[in-house]
Amino acid sequence: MIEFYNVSLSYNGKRILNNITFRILKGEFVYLIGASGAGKSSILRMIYFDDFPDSGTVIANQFSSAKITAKEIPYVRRSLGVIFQDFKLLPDRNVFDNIAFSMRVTGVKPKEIRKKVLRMIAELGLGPKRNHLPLELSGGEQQKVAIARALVNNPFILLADEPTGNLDPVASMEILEILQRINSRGTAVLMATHNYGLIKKYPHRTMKLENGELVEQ
Amino acid sequence: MSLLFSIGEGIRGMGKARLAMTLSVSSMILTLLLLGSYLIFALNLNQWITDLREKVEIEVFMEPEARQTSIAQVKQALEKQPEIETVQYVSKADAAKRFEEEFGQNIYDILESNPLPPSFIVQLKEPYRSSKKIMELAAGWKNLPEVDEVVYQKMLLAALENYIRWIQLGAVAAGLFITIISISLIYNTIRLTVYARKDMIYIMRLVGATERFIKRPFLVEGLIQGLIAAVFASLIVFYGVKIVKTFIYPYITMDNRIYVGMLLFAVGIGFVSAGLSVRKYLRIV
Repeated sequence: MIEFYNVSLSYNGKRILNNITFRILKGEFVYLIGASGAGKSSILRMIYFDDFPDSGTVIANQFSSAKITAKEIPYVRRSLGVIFQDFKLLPDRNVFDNIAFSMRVTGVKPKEIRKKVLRMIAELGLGPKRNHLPLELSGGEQQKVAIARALVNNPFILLADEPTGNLDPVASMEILEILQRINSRGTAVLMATHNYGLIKKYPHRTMKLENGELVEQ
Repeated sequence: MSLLFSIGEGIRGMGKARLAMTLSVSSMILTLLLLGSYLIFALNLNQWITDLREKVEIEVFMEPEARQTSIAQVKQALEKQPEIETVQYVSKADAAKRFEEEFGQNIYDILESNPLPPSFIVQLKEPYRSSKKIMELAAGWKNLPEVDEVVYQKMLLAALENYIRWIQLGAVAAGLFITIISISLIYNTIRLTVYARKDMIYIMRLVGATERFIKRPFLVEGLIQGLIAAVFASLIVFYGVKIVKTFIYPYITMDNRIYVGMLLFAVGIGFVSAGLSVRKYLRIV
């Protein structure tokens, strides 16, 4: 599924990750923790091939960072979902269109888009907010829209970069419960977070980044 | 479906980034006006040069007492030459008449006999109106029977050829300069519209849109912007030419191909600039 072999990465001459090796299996839930700037987001970016290691290899869904071509990258990205702390929603589109966007850009037929998006909206309890713009939603609701957008293409893994970073404790808990539910259906989750309280509430395999090294906890 | 999506996104994008779009279309209109004005200038300059060259006449003077057989021979020889457009024979009597028209005096009031020689006024076809070619032809005509001399406006022709070369070179340089300025101005303003939608580009990349797919809405946008700018610029040029013709310079020439050129330039540059801007931006985000 996801494999890192001796991966090192530097930014502006500063080494962020040093010889990191790990594997995430199908259906796993993994936390990635560490201080700010420790390289958590860099690990996620390398999984969706937005960044490449200086040395070592990253393998995501059988595509290797050493061999992948620019043309193949979009197809790998369609097989994984990504959510962020700042949601990255399109502010001029309502809930339905934000979720549908990821299917439209991959050329899915309108009928199928409608069916899947409505199902996703219902599943995440966004029904009454279907025609609302992101700015009319709470932080928790915006993150739900982002999750729906990430899931609508049935990814094998959901990459969550500090998904609760902008949310209050209640909304954070709700988001984590959604992620648990998604995971229980077989989608792997890799969540980078600072929120140790949530980890205690829902314990899973945890990897900690410390001085560029990875420590399993 | 995906093409419709791209067109929809392109139109939507223009509505969203209104300021950037207005800037972009305005700069396109300005540069098109510059380009249009230049093309009109070049067209009129060319027309002026053609008119001037048309006025260059060559006079082939016969001996004052040339025989009719020689005159007929020369006429036939001149008419046979492929470089010649028209040959007009001016008899001694015609020459006397022209003298009277020009100087207001009858030649017979001044002299006892008419000393004016018969001649031929020759006009060359457009491609042969250079001093070099005229010199060549004149040398040949001098050997025809009873031809006294061949006269043409050497000075005017030399001046035309000397200055026109520089004027044309200057016009070409100005045209190139305007084109480069236009391209860079339009390219940079279109980049603004692309930048205004960097979030959308990022999200498209994130959810697995191909580069080609991401580019399409921007290409559509570039095309539409070019089209809008071309329509506005053409209208301004159309009425501008009308005003100039009515109030300033009635001889101004306009060619519809200039409108077509402006349209193609605007649409082409909108399309190419949008493509380049997104490509560049895709490397960054």
